[in-house]
Amino acid sequence: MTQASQTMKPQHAHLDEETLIACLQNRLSDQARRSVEAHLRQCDACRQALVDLRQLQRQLQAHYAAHHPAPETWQQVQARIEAHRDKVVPLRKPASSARRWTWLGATAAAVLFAVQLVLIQQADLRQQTGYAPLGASQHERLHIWVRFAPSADSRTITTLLRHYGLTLDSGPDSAGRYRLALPAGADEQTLQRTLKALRQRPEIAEALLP
Amino acid sequence: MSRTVDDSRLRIWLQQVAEGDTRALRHLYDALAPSIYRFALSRLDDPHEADGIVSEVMVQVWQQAGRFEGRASVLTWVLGIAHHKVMDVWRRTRRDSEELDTVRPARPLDQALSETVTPAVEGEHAALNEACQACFDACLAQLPPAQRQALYLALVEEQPYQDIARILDCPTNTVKTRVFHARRFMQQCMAAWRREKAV
Ligand SMILES: [Zn+2]
Repeated sequence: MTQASQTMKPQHAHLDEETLIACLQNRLSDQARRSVEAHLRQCDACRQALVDLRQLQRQLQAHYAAHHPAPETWQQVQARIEAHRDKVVPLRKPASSARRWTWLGATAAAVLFAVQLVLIQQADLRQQTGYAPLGASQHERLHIWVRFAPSADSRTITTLLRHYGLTLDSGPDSAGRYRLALPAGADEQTLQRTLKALRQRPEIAEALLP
Repeated sequence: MSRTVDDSRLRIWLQQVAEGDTRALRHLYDALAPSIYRFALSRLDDPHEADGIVSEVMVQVWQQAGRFEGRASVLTWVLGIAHHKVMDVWRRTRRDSEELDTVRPARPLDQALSETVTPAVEGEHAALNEACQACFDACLAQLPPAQRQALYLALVEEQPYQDIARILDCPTNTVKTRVFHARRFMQQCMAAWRREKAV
């Protein structure tokens, strides 16, 4: 605290943060503003706090102003809405951008499957895509069978698989179920935990063990 | 961030969306998607997940526009929807981070310092400011996500505490505490950086 504020001895307690922020953002009533201004005139500490807050607000705004949704997000929204409205999924691939490619590279296989899932919905994935057969190591992996909810779209499915480290490796069977492989080395405990988690997901209509 | 579109305009678009107008949805998207995205980012710190949140929220806005009761602003309502989706992702993917207010180990400040504090002899002032922004970013990344999110709503979206509490579905006192701790953390983190710089 500075010499000035010690000698001035403000009559009231310091302004709280909520009030300072409201003051900074011009959200105070006339009466409140007058009282705040009176306090600020005689209190260095609160004036400094207001200056600090303004600086923090500017830096935060500058930081977040640099972040924008990916350009293709609107197309995702449109595609999902059209799917809901007409029950017809538009045969449009999501637009790409440089920013997406790093992510796409990592999950290209999952994206491909997931996009196709939406595009052809309940059609036979194997027949339509002729995807590569499983590698030898995948035969040793643990599996969960799932049926996706009709509302689940490619992105949600891809995100879901990515989060649990799952790979979509075959399907659908006659009941519309797809087989998901757990990451190599996953144990029984992970299997049970993943199964339980999947059963709580809105994108998953059904999850079972082989 | 100063809002370029006021709430009354957003309400008109929302009403049109409720009647099935996709052009109005596009207007809403343009006005709100950056806020939804940044809000998600403030908690999840993952651009891909934040994009997913934007998409899910806008689809829900499309489906539920007619349910808007007008008790809060459209932005508050939409960010409330976003919050639930953000928390779904949070619970699903950050199972080890149950404690909302613990500091998440992020990029160490020392590392940020060594990468950024190399001002050239000429234009030292500009370089210092630039370095300062980089350190600000580093401090922000170290802030506990729940606090960062509250700070974002208070200072970037300029939401009153009462509305922040509504968005985050928590008591106003929790908002107060989070903003307070967030500010103190940022102050101390930046002060540490300035001390380092002065050496
Ligand atoms: Zn004071």
